[in-house]
Amino acid sequence: MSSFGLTKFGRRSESLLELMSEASIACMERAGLNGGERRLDEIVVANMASGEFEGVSGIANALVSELSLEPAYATKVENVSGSGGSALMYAYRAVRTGFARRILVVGGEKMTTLKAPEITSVIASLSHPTERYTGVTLPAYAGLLADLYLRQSGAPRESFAHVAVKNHHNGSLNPYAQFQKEITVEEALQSPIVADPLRLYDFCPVSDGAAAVLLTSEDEASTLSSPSVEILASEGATATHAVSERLAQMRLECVGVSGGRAMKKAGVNIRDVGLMELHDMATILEIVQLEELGVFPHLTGWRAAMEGVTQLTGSLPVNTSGGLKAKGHPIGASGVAQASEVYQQLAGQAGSRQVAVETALSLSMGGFGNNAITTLYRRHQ
Amino acid sequence: MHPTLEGIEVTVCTKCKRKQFPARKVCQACGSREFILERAYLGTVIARTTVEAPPSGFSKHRLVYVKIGDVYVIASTNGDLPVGSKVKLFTSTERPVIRAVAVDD
Ligand SMILES: [Zn+2]
Repeated sequence: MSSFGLTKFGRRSESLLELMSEASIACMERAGLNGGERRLDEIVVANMASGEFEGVSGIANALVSELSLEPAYATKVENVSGSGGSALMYAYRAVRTGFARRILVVGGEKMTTLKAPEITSVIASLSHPTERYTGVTLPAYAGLLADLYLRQSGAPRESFAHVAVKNHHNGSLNPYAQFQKEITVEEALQSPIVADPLRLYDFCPVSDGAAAVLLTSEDEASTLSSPSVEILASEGATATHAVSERLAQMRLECVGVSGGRAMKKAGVNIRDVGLMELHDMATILEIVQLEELGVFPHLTGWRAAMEGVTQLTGSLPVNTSGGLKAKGHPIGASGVAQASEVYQQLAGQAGSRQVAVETALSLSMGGFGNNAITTLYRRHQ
Repeated sequence: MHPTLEGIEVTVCTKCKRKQFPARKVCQACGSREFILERAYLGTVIARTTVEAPPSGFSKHRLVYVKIGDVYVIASTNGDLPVGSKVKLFTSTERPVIRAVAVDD
Protein backbone atom coordinates (compact mmCIF):
# COMPACT_ATOMS: atom_id res chain seq x y z
CA MET A 1 0.00 0.00 0.00
CA SER A 2 1.68 3.16 -1.23
CA SER A 3 -0.63 6.08 -0.59
CA PHE A 4 -3.99 7.19 0.78
CA GLY A 5 -6.55 9.91 0.13
CA LEU A 6 -9.58 10.94 2.17
CA THR A 7 -12.34 13.48 2.02
CA LYS A 8 -13.63 14.92 5.25
CA PHE A 9 -16.59 12.78 6.35
CA GLY A 10 -19.96 14.30 7.26
CA ARG A 11 -22.82 15.99 5.44
CA ARG A 12 -21.31 17.04 2.12
CA SER A 13 -22.87 19.01 -0.74
CA GLU A 14 -20.87 17.18 -3.45
CA SER A 15 -22.04 14.12 -5.38
CA LEU A 16 -20.61 10.65 -4.80
CA LEU A 17 -18.57 10.99 -8.00
CA GLU A 18 -17.10 14.30 -6.81
CA LEU A 19 -16.25 12.84 -3.39
CA MET A 20 -14.59 9.78 -4.93
CA SER A 21 -12.66 12.01 -7.33
CA GLU A 22 -11.42 14.17 -4.45
CA ALA A 23 -10.14 11.14 -2.51
CA SER A 24 -8.61 9.56 -5.64
CA ILE A 25 -6.73 12.69 -6.68
CA ALA A 26 -5.42 13.22 -3.14
CA CYS A 27 -4.21 9.61 -3.08
CA MET A 28 -2.47 9.73 -6.48
CA GLU A 29 -0.88 13.14 -5.92
CA ARG A 30 0.48 12.02 -2.55
CA ALA A 31 2.24 9.19 -4.41
CA GLY A 32 3.58 11.61 -7.04
CA LEU A 33 1.30 10.23 -9.74
CA ASN A 34 0.67 13.36 -11.77
CA GLY A 35 0.11 14.02 -15.48
CA GLY A 36 1.29 11.17 -17.67
CA GLU A 37 2.62 9.25 -14.66
CA ARG A 38 -0.86 8.32 -13.54
CA ARG A 39 -0.96 4.90 -15.23
CA LEU A 40 -3.08 2.44 -13.30
CA ASP A 41 -3.83 -1.18 -14.12
CA GLU A 42 -7.21 -1.22 -12.42
CA ILE A 43 -9.59 0.83 -10.27
CA VAL A 44 -11.75 -1.05 -7.78
CA VAL A 45 -14.66 0.97 -6.44
CA ALA A 46 -16.43 0.06 -3.18
CA ASN A 47 -19.97 1.32 -2.85
CA MET A 48 -23.19 -0.10 -1.44
CA ALA A 49 -26.08 1.83 -2.88
CA SER A 50 -25.38 4.66 -5.35
CA GLY A 51 -28.55 3.57 -7.14
CA GLU A 52 -30.76 3.91 -4.08
CA PHE A 53 -29.11 7.02 -2.65
CA GLU A 54 -28.44 9.03 -5.82
CA GLY A 55 -30.09 7.16 -8.69
CA VAL A 56 -26.67 6.52 -10.21
CA SER A 57 -25.21 3.26 -11.54
CA GLY A 58 -21.94 2.62 -13.36
CA ILE A 59 -20.02 4.70 -10.79
CA ALA A 60 -16.70 2.91 -11.43
CA ASN A 61 -16.83 3.74 -15.16
CA ALA A 62 -17.81 7.33 -14.38
CA LEU A 63 -14.86 7.72 -12.01
CA VAL A 64 -12.34 6.51 -14.60
CA SER A 65 -13.55 9.11 -17.07
CA GLU A 66 -13.75 11.90 -14.49
CA LEU A 67 -10.07 11.28 -13.70
CA SER A 68 -9.10 10.62 -17.37
CA LEU A 69 -7.68 7.23 -16.47
CA GLU A 70 -8.96 5.40 -19.57
CA PRO A 71 -8.29 2.66 -20.63
CA ALA A 72 -7.74 1.30 -17.08
CA TYR A 73 -10.32 -1.32 -16.20
CA ALA A 74 -12.70 -0.42 -13.38
CA THR A 75 -15.35 -2.33 -11.51
CA LYS A 76 -17.55 -1.90 -8.46
CA VAL A 77 -17.56 -4.23 -5.47
CA GLU A 78 -20.79 -4.26 -3.47
CA ASN A 79 -20.75 -6.08 -0.16
CA VAL A 80 -22.94 -3.74 1.91
CA SER A 81 -20.99 -2.21 4.79
CA GLY A 82 -18.08 -4.55 4.05
CA SER A 83 -17.71 -3.23 0.48
CA GLY A 84 -14.50 -1.37 1.29
CA GLY A 85 -12.87 -4.39 2.90
CA SER A 86 -13.91 -6.60 0.00
CA ALA A 87 -12.55 -4.18 -2.60
CA LEU A 88 -9.26 -4.00 -0.70
CA MET A 89 -9.08 -7.80 -0.48
CA TYR A 90 -9.64 -8.31 -4.22
CA ALA A 91 -7.15 -5.61 -5.16
CA TYR A 92 -4.55 -7.03 -2.78
CA ARG A 93 -4.94 -10.49 -4.28
CA ALA A 94 -4.64 -9.16 -7.84
CA VAL A 95 -1.38 -7.39 -7.00
CA ARG A 96 -0.07 -10.23 -4.84
CA THR A 97 -0.57 -12.79 -7.61
CA GLY A 98 0.99 -10.54 -10.25
CA PHE A 99 -2.15 -9.81 -12.28
CA ALA A 100 -1.71 -6.08 -11.66
CA ARG A 101 1.01 -3.78 -10.38
CA ARG A 102 -0.93 -0.62 -9.54
CA ILE A 103 -4.54 -0.64 -8.38
CA LEU A 104 -6.44 2.30 -6.98
CA VAL A 105 -9.07 1.22 -4.44
CA VAL A 106 -11.74 3.88 -3.92
CA GLY A 107 -14.66 3.59 -1.51
CA GLY A 108 -17.48 6.07 -1.11
CA GLU A 109 -21.08 6.68 -0.21
CA LYS A 110 -23.37 9.67 -0.49
CA MET A 111 -26.14 9.00 2.05
CA THR A 112 -27.63 12.35 3.03
CA THR A 113 -29.65 12.62 -0.17
CA LEU A 114 -32.40 10.65 1.61
CA LYS A 115 -34.34 11.18 4.85
CA ALA A 116 -33.55 9.07 7.93
CA PRO A 117 -36.37 6.44 7.53
CA GLU A 118 -35.43 5.94 3.87
CA ILE A 119 -31.73 5.57 4.75
CA THR A 120 -32.69 3.02 7.41
CA SER A 121 -34.74 1.12 4.78
CA VAL A 122 -31.89 1.08 2.26
CA ILE A 123 -29.52 -0.32 4.88
CA ALA A 124 -32.09 -2.80 6.26
CA SER A 125 -32.58 -4.20 2.73
CA LEU A 126 -29.52 -6.38 3.40
CA SER A 127 -31.46 -8.29 6.09
CA HIS A 128 -33.24 -11.61 5.70
CA PRO A 129 -36.88 -11.02 4.61
CA THR A 130 -38.32 -12.56 7.79
CA GLU A 131 -36.46 -9.92 9.77
CA ARG A 132 -36.71 -6.99 7.34
CA TYR A 133 -40.49 -7.28 6.93
CA THR A 134 -40.85 -7.52 10.72
CA GLY A 135 -39.24 -4.07 10.93
CA VAL A 136 -35.82 -5.06 12.24
CA THR A 137 -33.11 -2.46 11.65
CA LEU A 138 -29.33 -2.68 12.01
CA PRO A 139 -29.47 -0.65 15.26
CA ALA A 140 -32.17 -3.05 16.52
CA TYR A 141 -29.88 -6.04 16.01
CA ALA A 142 -27.30 -4.17 18.07
CA GLY A 143 -29.91 -3.41 20.74
CA LEU A 144 -30.84 -7.09 21.04
CA LEU A 145 -27.18 -8.13 21.17
CA ALA A 146 -26.45 -5.49 23.81
CA ASP A 147 -29.43 -6.61 25.91
CA LEU A 148 -28.24 -10.24 25.83
CA TYR A 149 -24.63 -9.21 26.47
CA LEU A 150 -25.40 -7.07 29.50
CA ARG A 151 -27.44 -9.89 31.06
CA GLN A 152 -24.88 -12.64 30.40
CA SER A 153 -21.58 -10.82 30.97
CA GLY A 154 -22.40 -8.73 34.00
CA ALA A 155 -20.87 -5.73 32.19
CA PRO A 156 -21.98 -2.34 33.49
CA ARG A 157 -23.92 -0.20 31.01
CA GLU A 158 -21.22 2.47 31.11
CA SER A 159 -18.71 0.04 29.57
CA PHE A 160 -20.34 0.79 26.19
CA ALA A 161 -20.14 4.53 26.85
CA HIS A 162 -16.37 4.24 27.39
CA VAL A 163 -16.02 2.94 23.81
CA ALA A 164 -17.89 6.00 22.50
CA VAL A 165 -15.85 8.40 24.66
CA LYS A 166 -12.56 6.83 23.47
CA ASN A 167 -13.52 6.94 19.80
CA HIS A 168 -14.75 10.53 20.05
CA HIS A 169 -11.42 11.49 21.63
CA ASN A 170 -9.55 9.86 18.73
CA GLY A 171 -11.90 11.51 16.23
CA SER A 172 -11.15 14.89 17.78
CA LEU A 173 -7.53 14.39 16.64
CA ASN A 174 -8.45 13.33 13.09
CA PRO A 175 -8.96 16.19 10.62
CA TYR A 176 -11.05 13.93 8.34
CA ALA A 177 -13.47 12.83 11.10
CA GLN A 178 -17.14 13.81 11.08
CA PHE A 179 -17.14 14.45 14.84
CA GLN A 180 -14.13 16.33 16.11
CA LYS A 181 -15.37 16.79 19.63
CA GLU A 182 -14.90 14.98 22.90
CA ILE A 183 -17.88 13.58 24.80
CA THR A 184 -18.21 12.40 28.41
CA VAL A 185 -19.49 9.11 29.78
CA GLU A 186 -22.40 11.02 31.32
CA GLU A 187 -23.36 12.58 27.97
CA ALA A 188 -23.25 9.17 26.31
CA LEU A 189 -25.39 7.62 29.04
CA GLN A 190 -27.96 10.42 28.87
CA SER A 191 -28.29 10.63 25.08
CA PRO A 192 -31.66 9.58 23.59
CA ILE A 193 -32.48 5.88 23.33
CA VAL A 194 -32.23 4.53 19.77
CA ALA A 195 -32.46 0.75 20.34
CA ASP A 196 -32.80 0.05 24.05
CA PRO A 197 -30.40 -0.36 25.87
CA LEU A 198 -28.32 1.47 23.25
CA ARG A 199 -28.43 5.23 22.88
CA LEU A 200 -27.55 7.81 20.26
CA TYR A 201 -23.87 7.95 21.24
CA ASP A 202 -23.61 4.16 20.90
CA PHE A 203 -24.06 4.46 17.13
CA CYS A 204 -22.16 5.79 14.13
CA PRO A 205 -23.75 8.72 12.29
CA VAL A 206 -25.08 8.95 8.73
CA SER A 207 -22.20 10.19 6.57
CA ASP A 208 -21.08 11.21 3.12
CA GLY A 209 -17.46 10.71 2.17
CA ALA A 210 -14.85 8.82 0.22
CA ALA A 211 -11.48 7.18 0.79
CA ALA A 212 -8.79 5.84 -1.52
CA VAL A 213 -5.63 3.75 -1.18
CA LEU A 214 -3.07 2.83 -3.82
CA LEU A 215 -1.94 -0.79 -3.89
CA THR A 216 1.28 -1.50 -5.72
CA SER A 217 3.70 -4.33 -6.25
CA GLU A 218 6.96 -4.01 -4.32
CA ASP A 219 9.01 -2.87 -7.32
CA GLU A 220 6.37 -0.25 -8.26
CA ALA A 221 6.31 1.02 -4.67
CA SER A 222 10.00 1.88 -4.85
CA THR A 223 9.37 4.22 -7.81
CA LEU A 224 6.83 6.38 -5.93
CA SER A 225 7.41 9.44 -3.79
CA SER A 226 5.31 8.20 -0.83
CA PRO A 227 6.35 5.62 1.77
CA SER A 228 4.86 2.15 1.53
CA VAL A 229 3.22 -0.18 4.03
CA GLU A 230 3.16 -3.92 3.53
CA ILE A 231 -0.11 -5.85 3.41
CA LEU A 232 0.53 -9.29 4.90
CA ALA A 233 -2.86 -10.95 4.29
CA SER A 234 -6.51 -10.22 3.65
CA GLU A 235 -9.14 -12.89 4.30
CA GLY A 236 -12.93 -13.02 4.47
CA ALA A 237 -15.68 -15.22 5.87
CA THR A 238 -19.49 -15.36 5.80
CA ALA A 239 -22.09 -16.07 8.50
CA THR A 240 -25.83 -16.74 8.39
CA HIS A 241 -28.06 -14.27 6.55
CA ALA A 242 -30.72 -14.37 9.28
CA VAL A 243 -29.18 -12.78 12.37
CA SER A 244 -31.71 -14.60 14.59
CA GLU A 245 -29.89 -17.87 13.85
CA ARG A 246 -26.73 -16.72 15.66
CA LEU A 247 -27.57 -13.81 17.96
CA ALA A 248 -28.12 -16.03 21.01
CA GLN A 249 -24.45 -17.02 21.05
CA MET A 250 -23.46 -13.32 21.33
CA ARG A 251 -20.78 -14.04 18.75
CA LEU A 252 -19.71 -12.64 15.38
CA GLU A 253 -18.22 -15.89 14.14
CA CYS A 254 -17.23 -14.65 10.69
CA VAL A 255 -15.00 -12.08 12.41
CA GLY A 256 -13.13 -14.82 14.24
CA VAL A 257 -12.90 -17.00 11.13
CA SER A 258 -11.63 -14.22 8.84
CA GLY A 259 -9.23 -13.03 11.53
CA GLY A 260 -7.92 -16.54 12.10
CA ARG A 261 -7.42 -17.09 8.38
CA ALA A 262 -5.60 -13.78 7.95
CA MET A 263 -3.30 -14.38 10.93
CA LYS A 264 -2.48 -17.88 9.70
CA LYS A 265 -1.67 -16.62 6.19
CA ALA A 266 0.46 -13.80 7.57
CA GLY A 267 2.17 -15.92 10.22
CA VAL A 268 1.10 -13.35 12.80
CA ASN A 269 -0.20 -13.96 16.32
CA ILE A 270 -2.91 -11.68 17.70
CA ARG A 271 -0.43 -10.63 20.41
CA ASP A 272 1.82 -9.22 17.64
CA VAL A 273 -0.87 -6.79 16.47
CA GLY A 274 -0.26 -3.31 17.88
CA LEU A 275 -3.23 -1.39 16.48
CA MET A 276 -6.71 -2.22 15.21
CA GLU A 277 -9.33 -0.43 13.17
CA LEU A 278 -12.59 -2.23 13.97
CA HIS A 279 -16.11 -1.93 12.55
CA ASP A 280 -17.80 -0.07 15.43
CA MET A 281 -21.13 0.70 13.77
CA ALA A 282 -22.33 0.30 17.38
CA THR A 283 -20.18 0.34 20.53
CA ILE A 284 -21.15 -3.24 21.41
CA LEU A 285 -19.64 -4.39 18.10
CA GLU A 286 -16.15 -3.12 18.96
CA ILE A 287 -16.38 -5.09 22.20
CA VAL A 288 -17.53 -8.36 20.62
CA GLN A 289 -15.07 -8.02 17.73
CA LEU A 290 -12.18 -7.81 20.22
CA GLU A 291 -13.43 -11.09 21.71
CA GLU A 292 -13.82 -12.77 18.32
CA LEU A 293 -10.32 -11.80 17.26
CA GLY A 294 -8.96 -13.46 20.38
CA VAL A 295 -7.82 -10.33 22.25
CA PHE A 296 -10.22 -10.99 25.14
CA PRO A 297 -12.15 -14.11 26.19
CA HIS A 298 -15.86 -14.31 25.34
CA LEU A 299 -17.99 -11.83 27.35
CA THR A 300 -15.01 -9.95 28.80
CA GLY A 301 -14.18 -7.50 25.98
CA TRP A 302 -16.22 -4.79 27.72
CA ARG A 303 -13.28 -4.27 30.09
CA ALA A 304 -11.01 -3.03 27.28
CA ALA A 305 -12.17 0.57 26.90
CA MET A 306 -13.09 0.92 30.60
CA GLU A 307 -9.60 -0.07 31.70
CA GLY A 308 -7.87 2.03 29.04
CA VAL A 309 -6.34 -0.90 27.14
CA THR A 310 -7.70 0.31 23.78
CA GLN A 311 -7.01 4.04 24.24
CA LEU A 312 -4.34 5.77 22.15
CA THR A 313 -1.98 5.42 25.11
CA GLY A 314 -3.07 1.85 25.94
CA SER A 315 -1.33 -1.41 25.09
CA LEU A 316 -3.62 -2.01 22.06
CA PRO A 317 -4.98 1.22 20.54
CA VAL A 318 -8.30 0.52 18.76
CA ASN A 319 -9.93 2.86 16.26
CA THR A 320 -7.26 5.54 16.39
CA SER A 321 -9.12 7.24 13.51
CA GLY A 322 -12.22 7.69 15.69
CA GLY A 323 -13.72 4.56 14.18
CA LEU A 324 -17.04 4.47 12.38
CA LYS A 325 -18.45 5.95 15.58
CA ALA A 326 -16.72 9.34 15.39
CA LYS A 327 -14.95 9.40 12.03
CA GLY A 328 -18.27 8.58 10.35
CA HIS A 329 -19.54 5.69 8.26
CA PRO A 330 -20.12 6.49 4.57
CA ILE A 331 -20.83 2.82 4.02
CA GLY A 332 -18.75 1.96 0.94
CA ALA A 333 -15.89 4.17 2.13
CA SER A 334 -15.40 2.68 5.58
CA GLY A 335 -13.24 -0.36 4.80
CA VAL A 336 -10.97 1.79 2.63
CA ALA A 337 -10.86 4.54 5.27
CA GLN A 338 -9.71 1.93 7.81
CA ALA A 339 -6.83 1.03 5.48
CA SER A 340 -6.08 4.76 5.09
CA GLU A 341 -5.79 5.13 8.86
CA VAL A 342 -3.50 2.11 9.09
CA TYR A 343 -1.38 3.55 6.28
CA GLN A 344 -1.01 6.88 8.10
CA GLN A 345 -0.11 5.13 11.36
CA LEU A 346 2.44 2.71 9.89
CA ALA A 347 3.97 5.41 7.64
CA GLY A 348 4.32 7.78 10.61
CA GLN A 349 1.86 10.32 9.19
CA ALA A 350 -0.91 10.20 11.83
CA GLY A 351 -0.04 13.52 13.52
CA SER A 352 -1.32 13.96 17.07
CA ARG A 353 -2.91 10.49 17.14
CA GLN A 354 0.31 8.73 16.05
CA VAL A 355 1.15 5.50 17.88
CA ALA A 356 4.36 3.51 17.51
CA VAL A 357 3.50 0.05 16.19
CA GLU A 358 4.90 -2.45 13.69
CA THR A 359 1.80 -4.51 12.84
CA ALA A 360 -1.83 -3.46 12.42
CA LEU A 361 -5.20 -5.04 11.63
CA SER A 362 -8.36 -3.73 10.01
CA LEU A 363 -11.73 -5.42 10.23
CA SER A 364 -14.42 -4.55 7.72
CA MET A 365 -17.83 -6.10 8.42
CA GLY A 366 -20.77 -6.57 6.06
CA GLY A 367 -24.23 -6.27 7.61
CA PHE A 368 -24.61 -7.28 11.24
CA GLY A 369 -21.84 -9.84 11.32
CA ASN A 370 -23.09 -11.27 8.01
CA ASN A 371 -19.56 -11.30 6.69
CA ALA A 372 -16.14 -9.97 7.61
CA ILE A 373 -12.82 -9.18 5.98
CA THR A 374 -9.68 -8.98 8.10
CA THR A 375 -6.55 -7.38 6.68
CA LEU A 376 -3.11 -7.41 8.32
CA TYR A 377 -0.40 -4.83 7.64
CA ARG A 378 3.21 -4.29 8.64
CA ARG A 379 5.45 -1.22 8.72
CA HIS A 380 7.83 -1.40 5.76
CA GLN A 381 11.03 -3.13 6.89
CA MET B 1 -54.06 -5.92 8.64
CA HIS B 2 -52.81 -8.86 6.63
CA PRO B 3 -54.26 -12.29 7.39
CA THR B 4 -52.11 -14.17 9.87
CA LEU B 5 -51.41 -17.78 10.69
CA GLU B 6 -50.61 -19.02 14.15
CA GLY B 7 -46.99 -19.99 14.72
CA ILE B 8 -43.93 -20.00 12.48
CA GLU B 9 -42.97 -22.58 9.88
CA VAL B 10 -39.87 -24.54 10.87
CA THR B 11 -38.18 -26.86 8.38
CA VAL B 12 -36.98 -30.23 9.67
CA CYS B 13 -34.36 -32.12 7.67
CA THR B 14 -35.62 -35.63 6.96
CA LYS B 15 -32.06 -36.98 6.92
CA CYS B 16 -30.45 -35.50 10.06
CA LYS B 17 -33.51 -33.99 11.86
CA ARG B 18 -31.87 -30.55 12.07
CA LYS B 19 -34.48 -27.84 12.57
CA GLN B 20 -34.01 -24.57 10.70
CA PHE B 21 -35.67 -21.19 10.81
CA PRO B 22 -35.91 -19.39 8.49
CA ALA B 23 -36.13 -21.99 5.72
CA ARG B 24 -33.15 -22.71 3.44
CA LYS B 25 -32.91 -24.70 0.23
CA VAL B 26 -30.18 -26.89 1.68
CA CYS B 27 -29.74 -28.29 5.22
CA GLN B 28 -26.93 -26.46 7.00
CA ALA B 29 -25.95 -29.57 8.93
CA CYS B 30 -25.88 -32.34 6.30
CA GLY B 31 -26.52 -30.74 2.88
CA SER B 32 -29.76 -32.62 2.28
CA ARG B 33 -32.55 -30.94 0.33
CA GLU B 34 -35.41 -32.93 1.78
CA PHE B 35 -37.45 -31.36 4.54
CA ILE B 36 -40.76 -31.67 6.28
CA LEU B 37 -42.52 -28.59 7.61
CA GLU B 38 -43.52 -28.23 11.23
CA ARG B 39 -45.33 -25.34 12.90
CA ALA B 40 -44.01 -23.99 16.18
CA TYR B 41 -46.20 -21.76 18.32
CA LEU B 42 -44.90 -21.03 21.80
CA GLY B 43 -41.58 -19.57 22.86
CA THR B 44 -39.78 -17.56 25.51
CA VAL B 45 -38.42 -14.01 25.21
CA ILE B 46 -34.63 -13.96 25.75
CA ALA B 47 -33.92 -10.33 24.72
CA ARG B 48 -35.84 -7.21 23.84
CA THR B 49 -35.24 -3.83 22.26
CA THR B 50 -37.02 -0.83 20.81
CA VAL B 51 -36.96 0.61 17.31
CA GLU B 52 -36.97 4.36 17.95
CA ALA B 53 -35.76 5.19 14.42
CA PRO B 54 -37.95 2.99 12.22
CA PRO B 55 -37.51 2.40 8.50
CA SER B 56 -40.02 3.74 5.94
CA GLY B 57 -43.46 2.21 6.37
CA PHE B 58 -43.04 1.47 10.07
CA SER B 59 -43.78 3.43 13.24
CA LYS B 60 -41.75 3.13 16.42
CA HIS B 61 -42.12 -0.40 17.71
CA ARG B 62 -40.69 -3.02 20.03
CA LEU B 63 -38.90 -6.23 19.12
CA VAL B 64 -38.31 -9.41 21.07
CA TYR B 65 -35.86 -12.23 20.44
CA VAL B 66 -37.61 -15.51 21.12
CA LYS B 67 -36.31 -19.03 21.69
CA ILE B 68 -38.85 -21.45 20.32
CA GLY B 69 -37.79 -25.09 20.64
CA ASP B 70 -34.49 -25.47 18.81
CA VAL B 71 -34.77 -22.27 16.78
CA TYR B 72 -34.78 -18.52 17.38
CA VAL B 73 -36.85 -15.74 15.87
CA ILE B 74 -37.07 -11.94 16.08
CA ALA B 75 -40.68 -10.78 16.43
CA SER B 76 -42.51 -7.50 16.72
CA THR B 77 -44.69 -6.82 19.81
CA ASN B 78 -47.22 -4.25 20.94
CA GLY B 79 -46.25 -3.83 24.57
CA ASP B 80 -43.02 -4.28 26.49
CA LEU B 81 -42.54 -8.03 27.00
CA PRO B 82 -39.84 -8.60 29.64
CA VAL B 83 -37.20 -11.26 29.22
CA GLY B 84 -38.63 -14.59 30.38
CA SER B 85 -42.14 -13.83 29.02
CA LYS B 86 -43.95 -16.73 27.39
CA VAL B 87 -45.22 -15.72 23.95
CA LYS B 88 -47.28 -17.08 21.11
CA LEU B 89 -46.07 -16.30 17.59
CA PHE B 90 -48.08 -15.27 14.54
CA THR B 91 -46.93 -14.96 10.91
CA SER B 92 -48.50 -12.77 8.26
CA THR B 93 -49.43 -14.80 5.17
CA GLU B 94 -48.55 -12.10 2.63
CA ARG B 95 -45.14 -11.06 3.89
CA PRO B 96 -43.25 -12.90 6.60
CA VAL B 97 -44.06 -10.38 9.35
CA ILE B 98 -43.71 -12.17 12.68
CA ARG B 99 -45.53 -11.00 15.80
CA ALA B 100 -45.31 -12.15 19.40
CA VAL B 101 -48.18 -11.93 21.86
CA ALA B 102 -47.89 -12.64 25.58
CA VAL B 103 -49.57 -15.77 26.88
CA ASP B 104 -50.16 -16.92 30.46
CA ASP B 105 -48.02 -19.81 31.68
ZN1 LIG C 1 -29.73 -32.33 7.52
